[in-house]
Amino acid sequence: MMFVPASNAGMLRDAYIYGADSIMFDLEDSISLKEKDTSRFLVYQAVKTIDYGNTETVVRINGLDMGGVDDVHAMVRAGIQVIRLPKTETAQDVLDTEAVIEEAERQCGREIGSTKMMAAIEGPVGVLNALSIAKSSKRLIGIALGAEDYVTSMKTKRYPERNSDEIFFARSMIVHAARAVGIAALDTVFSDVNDSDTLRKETEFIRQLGFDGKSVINPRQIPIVNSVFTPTEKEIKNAIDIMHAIEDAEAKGSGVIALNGKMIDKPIVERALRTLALAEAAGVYKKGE
Amino acid sequence: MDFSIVRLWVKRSKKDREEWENLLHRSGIRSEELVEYTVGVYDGEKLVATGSRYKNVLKCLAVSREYTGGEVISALVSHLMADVFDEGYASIYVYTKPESVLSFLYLGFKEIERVEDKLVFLEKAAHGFDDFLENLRKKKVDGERIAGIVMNANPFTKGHQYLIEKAAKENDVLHVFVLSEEMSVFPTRVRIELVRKGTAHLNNVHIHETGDYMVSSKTFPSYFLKEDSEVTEIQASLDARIFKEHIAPALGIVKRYVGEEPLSFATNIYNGALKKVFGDSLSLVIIPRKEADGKVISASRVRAYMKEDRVKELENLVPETTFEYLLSPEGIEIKKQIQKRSD
Amino acid sequence: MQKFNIEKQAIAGTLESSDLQIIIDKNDGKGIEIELKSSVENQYGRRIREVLRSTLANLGVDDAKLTVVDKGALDCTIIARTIAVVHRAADATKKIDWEGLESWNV
Repeated sequence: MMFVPASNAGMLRDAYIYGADSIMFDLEDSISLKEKDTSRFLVYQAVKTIDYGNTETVVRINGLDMGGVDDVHAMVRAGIQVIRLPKTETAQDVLDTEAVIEEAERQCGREIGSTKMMAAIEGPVGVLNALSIAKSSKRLIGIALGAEDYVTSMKTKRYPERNSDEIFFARSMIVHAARAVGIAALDTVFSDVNDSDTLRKETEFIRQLGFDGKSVINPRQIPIVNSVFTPTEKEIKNAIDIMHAIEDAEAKGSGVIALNGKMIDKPIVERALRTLALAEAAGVYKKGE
Repeated sequence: MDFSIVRLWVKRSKKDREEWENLLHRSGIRSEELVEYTVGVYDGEKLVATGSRYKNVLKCLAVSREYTGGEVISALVSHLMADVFDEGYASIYVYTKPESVLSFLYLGFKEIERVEDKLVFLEKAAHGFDDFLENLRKKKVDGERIAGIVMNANPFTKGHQYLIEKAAKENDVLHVFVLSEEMSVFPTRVRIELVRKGTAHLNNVHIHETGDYMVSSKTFPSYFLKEDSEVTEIQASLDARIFKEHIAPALGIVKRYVGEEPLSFATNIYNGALKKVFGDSLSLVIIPRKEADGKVISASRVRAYMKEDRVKELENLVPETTFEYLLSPEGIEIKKQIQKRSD
Repeated sequence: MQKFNIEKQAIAGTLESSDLQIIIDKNDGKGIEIELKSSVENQYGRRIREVLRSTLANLGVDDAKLTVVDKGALDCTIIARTIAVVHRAADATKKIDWEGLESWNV
């Protein structure tokens, strides 16, 4: 998910060419107080007009009492796909925002429920409430970790060079909550745009934990994150073989599917499907090949 | 490139001030005291550009050589402009060296005037210089001999009155321009009012404001001019050109009156520059100052007496209308302000 | 169609690449006056003015003086900056009428 500050007209226009899976237009932390109103109109108009192709469009709104209500009204009408809440602490935060989204959908005739949500957890209360937050709304498609604010509330700071142990618990809570509910888990940004090695290591680690993706702040980071999440050729071949085995078993009318002496049960099939989906998204696989 | 624009606290932080001055010096320009708001553009941890504003004038703009090319200066000027508007001003000014003019034209600024290869004065405004001149033209009064005077009048003294009376007598129409900028202990509104009151008996005198187009030496930025050079002369030349090329034609002025200042080196340079620029197109008439008790009457003398509470003696230096004001509650407030200052 | 009255001067947008900066001010009784500076004046000058005028018309602004600097902005950016600067000039940034905007902004 690539962060794009909403005040930058040039970036808004070019965002989709960078190849990120989703673009997050930020109306919150990266926008100065004086430019909240203008940035909102900028993203509103851009999302209405520009075709972002297959890239998912997300907007990070301000807190409801800091302009978030107008942000929601603007972006629901503009056709944004996902609204990301900042600093989510409780399930109620999600519900409060959902109420505004629903009101906006009603007013402008957009299909109720079509605007999805994403919750960013950026503090200890949110982390401890991760599960209830994840369960709070059908619109929620994922939860993310915002580590910068989190470590400040925890009275520490980021130590990417020391494996980021300080956010290990938060990451764990979030990925567990996401998996328990069946939504996506998104990791925090990596701020040093010049350090590709640590970015790669960190991305490999969070993939290992089970995260679905990572937020980036610079187009240069996209290829690195994608390559970590892109299945290897071996993994893809394996997944395709599993698909073949399934087709074969169906053709024979057999109830049991096996490949190379091993039973293929539901979790394995799901994993194979995920692998192929990821591979397809990364552009390294096309169905039917 | 990932720039961040950060405020530099050049008046409060020694560290910020040092960083600021280093960049300015590397860019061949000087720092100035009269700045209200300064920002630095950072590429990561490195300070690569800076810009300041004083009221609605942009100054001390510097961009490191490796970063020239438009992006940084656009971001810098956009930011400063937004700040100027936030402060409630509707127009923005820049004094800069000729080599930088293109960058500003590119950002939508319009050149008002220039002094040869030394300095250019630019403006960006919805209702700017053109509107100002248009309004002046509407106030044109016909006459054979039309003259003009520019003064600060801080406050209006018998010396000012004398100059105006003389010019009014020798001409059919006299236009008096009072400096609009709020840099004096007597607020603009008061200075203009005292000029009006002190000239009410003359029916061919018309009072105007200079707007943002003529400033005092305190405001005039010189950060990019060579150290000690002809700052006064350049400023005077700019004022002279603005007067000669734009203001005078709008009203049909053919003569400008100024007071002589034998003891002020700066005023002499100023008057000298006026004469040089005016050449043959516009007459410059230098009038000796009126005296009282063997000394020249000047606004600074009046302020000095106010500071020392020499009320009786003030009566000799200012017209009744001004004296009345000095004794009023408002006038006493101003006297207290003068006394608080150490100059 | 909405109706906005320019109460004070305002500015919106930046001078950065792909953006557009607008300074707007009152122009009582004199209609819409636009001063445009664009590096692509020849090819797009007319288009930019068209977009500005039609957006102002949609916002119900009859009199305004605009000083515009274009740095290669897309139409949607021009529209967004115009909407923003009119809201600021009309002091309407606290209570935005989204329905009103949507009625013409398709």
